[in-house]
Amino acid sequence: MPVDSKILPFRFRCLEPSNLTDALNLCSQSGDQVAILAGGTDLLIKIKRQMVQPEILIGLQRVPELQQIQTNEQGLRLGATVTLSEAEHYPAIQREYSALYEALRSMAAPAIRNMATLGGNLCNASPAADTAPPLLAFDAQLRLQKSGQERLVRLTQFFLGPGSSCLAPGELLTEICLPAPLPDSGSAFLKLGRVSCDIAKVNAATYLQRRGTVCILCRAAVGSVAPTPVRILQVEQLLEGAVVDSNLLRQAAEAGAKAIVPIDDIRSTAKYRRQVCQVILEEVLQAAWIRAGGVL
Amino acid sequence: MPKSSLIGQSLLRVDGLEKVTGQTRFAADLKVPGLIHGRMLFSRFPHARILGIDCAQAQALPGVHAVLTAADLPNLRPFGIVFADQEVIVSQKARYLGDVVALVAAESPEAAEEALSLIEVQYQPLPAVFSPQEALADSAPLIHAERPNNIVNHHKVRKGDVSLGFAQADMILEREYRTQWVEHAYLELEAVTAVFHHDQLELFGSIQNPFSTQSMVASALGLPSEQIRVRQTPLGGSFGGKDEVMYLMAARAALLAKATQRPVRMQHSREESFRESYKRHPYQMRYKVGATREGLLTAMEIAILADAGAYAASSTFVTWRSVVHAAGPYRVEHVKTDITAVYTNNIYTGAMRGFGTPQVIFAVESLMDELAQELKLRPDELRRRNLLTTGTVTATGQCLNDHPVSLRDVMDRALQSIDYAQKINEPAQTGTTKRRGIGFAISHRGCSLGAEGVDRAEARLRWQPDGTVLLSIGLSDNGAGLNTVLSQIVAQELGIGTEQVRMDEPDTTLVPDAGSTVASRGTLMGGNAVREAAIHLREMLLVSASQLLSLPAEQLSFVEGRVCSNLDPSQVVSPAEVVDWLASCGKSLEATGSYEAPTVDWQEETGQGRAYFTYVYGCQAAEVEVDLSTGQVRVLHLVAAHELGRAINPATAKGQIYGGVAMGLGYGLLEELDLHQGQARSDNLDRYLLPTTCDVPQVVTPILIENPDPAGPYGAKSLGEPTNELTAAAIANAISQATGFRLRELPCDLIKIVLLRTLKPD
Repeated sequence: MPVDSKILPFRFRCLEPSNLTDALNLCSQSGDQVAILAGGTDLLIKIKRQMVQPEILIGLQRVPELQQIQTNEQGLRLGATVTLSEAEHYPAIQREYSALYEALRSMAAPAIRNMATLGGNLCNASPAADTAPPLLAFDAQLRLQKSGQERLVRLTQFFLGPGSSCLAPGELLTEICLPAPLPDSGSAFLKLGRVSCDIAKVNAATYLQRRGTVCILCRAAVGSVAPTPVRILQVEQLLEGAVVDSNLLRQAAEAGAKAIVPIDDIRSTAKYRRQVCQVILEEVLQAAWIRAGGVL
Repeated sequence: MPKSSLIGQSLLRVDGLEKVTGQTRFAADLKVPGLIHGRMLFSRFPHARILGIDCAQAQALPGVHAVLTAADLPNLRPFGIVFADQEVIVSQKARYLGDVVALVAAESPEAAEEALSLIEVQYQPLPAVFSPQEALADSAPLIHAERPNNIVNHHKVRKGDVSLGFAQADMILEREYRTQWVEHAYLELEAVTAVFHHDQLELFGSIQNPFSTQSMVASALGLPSEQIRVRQTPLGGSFGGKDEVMYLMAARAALLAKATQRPVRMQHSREESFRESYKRHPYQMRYKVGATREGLLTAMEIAILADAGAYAASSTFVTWRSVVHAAGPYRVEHVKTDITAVYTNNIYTGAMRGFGTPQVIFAVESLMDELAQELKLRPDELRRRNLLTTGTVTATGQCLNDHPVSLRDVMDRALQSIDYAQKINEPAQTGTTKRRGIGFAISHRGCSLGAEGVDRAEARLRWQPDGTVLLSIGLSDNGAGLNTVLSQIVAQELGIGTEQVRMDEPDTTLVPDAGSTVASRGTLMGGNAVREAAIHLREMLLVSASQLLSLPAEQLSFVEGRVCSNLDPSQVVSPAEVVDWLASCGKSLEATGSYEAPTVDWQEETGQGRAYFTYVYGCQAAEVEVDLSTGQVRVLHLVAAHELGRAINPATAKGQIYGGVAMGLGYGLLEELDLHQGQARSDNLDRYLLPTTCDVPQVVTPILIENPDPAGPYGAKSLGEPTNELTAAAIANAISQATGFRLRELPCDLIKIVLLRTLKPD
């Protein structure tokens, strides 16, 4: 049958635990026909399109532990079901994590941002996920919990392929941890979509730290150009330890565009993605360097 | 009369508060006791004979109340506003993928969905054609057996002698332009409910035109119109798109309601809407233009093919409007235009805001810019030398001598506002890969139906005992603000506030037929009828008041909403008192007004005549920034100058401009239905890209130019469609000026140029 977005085409059970312990217990008891419902903005569409047919949904909306945002000297800790809107309006993110703030602001429309969650955006593991490049650039770590156990995983290790992550069966992403920003650092995010509410054709984020005219730390990440959002080490190696000027940033962007392996799909083509990847990489490098106090 | 006129005031929308607070109930929100759900089974093939249908399993499914096919309904008849070529359920063969082969009614939408999957249809696929060229080939399959070929209609304009005109030209330019398939993409999807009260059928839903729905459903079902009552629920968007698709849906709901003796609701999902509903016609347009060295147009020859899809619907009228406007708002001595609408196995095409003009305006306004470049003239200069002015003659031989032709003024105002003279000389390059450009387009547009057919409107007013006035009219507010405008006219003539005007339900049993709410005719035609009704009502009030006061009517005046004696100011009576008194005599205070459009004429063989009784004029100018490295186009500023006769309510008029420009921007830059072998591959809004509020130009400057027309109420004419027809052409010209590339296809996809290929899957 053709897809009909008005209809959820099969029956399922929906469980709504009210605390984290119950949620983790349910996750480990419920077998593999389970889907985790956070904001639902990706999952419900997959269900309507019959891309997944879970027998049980575990809804996390009533788990208060997952809705916290905390800042301290170590950095920022974001609960997995913090919505994109909540994160977007959180002052520390607006002030100190520019790339993440810009990514959040660029995503979908306000109504979707009010529902969608940070954890959902990551666990959906789309190569185009807009929160992924900035979180990669900030070297985020994820807290993954299973009843009685927990582990910390760097975001670079989390994505395995389109729609696939290193989450084990019964394991839940509970928290996203960002290190505190370093002195004289800056970050930026940019994306290119077909319209402003669209999923990215290409997105990119960088985080730079500066000492004088030298870049002493660089992390650059791009999305929609590989099976997962990826860091581009070629860019980072060129910049780290080098005296930065516009020429060098252009070279770095060129090197970045050469390093990626984009594909053709309904939103764009490989050739176009490579071309615009270079353009937006150069722009985010420039913006991040200037935000770090650098001059061009 | 009130101290200050209500005409020209930006009063609040009468439906505004209810809409922005979410209280408005749309068709699918209405609760109906005992309601069951209708669904339909689409054809699996774009062209196929139906050999047999087995419904046994579907009928046996619990919760299913009825499964209907054409075989169960021998009395069904084909219908159509011009050619009766469309079936409610196809009987012999399917002609496109939106044709319906069976209907189901069930207790829940899920049960209905499951039942559909159990219906087994045997098809014999037939060769299919998906472009006008294929459909016109000698070997093409005939899509409608009763027609001699696949041509729906062919309109012509023959003015002067083009060979003579081209002989006089120093420069001849030939170009081909194309436009795309476009979806209306109304926010509110199609929904209708059918209820039988004994043999009386009641239909209510998201219907653009209750009266045409009534007559089309009557003709399809073989019922007398009087047995069908159609009510329009508040429309969440239509743009010309809720006619045929709603006739079909209403008729299907009625069949299921009849079969089950239960109220039946049908409603589309977005995917179904994309699959079944009619679209804007894609055009292929060949233009040849001749001009002298001085830039005077000598001849224009135009050949257009329009894809009508599987059914004629309103193609005949849409393409007629195109043939009248195809040569643009210019004086051209010699014109030859041919436009042919062709049946294919694509989704059928029909009415959509603009109605056949956005396509030809994109072509002719691109052509003018290309010609100006060849002649080394500025685009505005070339147009100034040729545009229509008062007393000049259009391509259809109509002398514009009965209204002031404001086109030059409109163009000047728009160009001045965007600082065209300055910006056209600025270098395009603004960064390494960024370019800026400016462009514009102009149009003339015939108001109302013109020679399409009978053009009249009727309205009725009743003064009610509580002092309010009930306005009944068959034109309805499709979102453009008509109810507000008509309320202002009533209030103005009767000396009351707009809050004292009540709109009657748009219901075929309650309101007089005023023709369809189409062709930007609501204010012009409805306004005239309402104004006449109000004047009659005022006169009748004076007559009744004179009886009540025992004073001669000549001695009475209507002042500030009350009747008083000219001689003795203490002799005063309010309308409510008059109505009360009349009621005690068993009478009411009620008046009707009607308006018939001035005559028009048309010679179909030559395409000459007075096509419309009056015209409006528009100019839109766009400034764009193009990034050549990414292909992204940003519209920085858009100026929309429109002569509308008179703005009854300037705020709603500006609202029309903002909406029209946003829609036109989508047409120019983004929207394109990806139709492959008759199938809409962009079947939801994730693939069919619409501009949102975040994508509209950063600055939109509306300019309302008043130029009262003798034919309009208070001089008012039309605005809804003109705002939408120019934007794409203006943006295309601006992009070309910025980049030096001429895009002759909509949407203007610069990524195509960056990549030298489209991004569509092959």
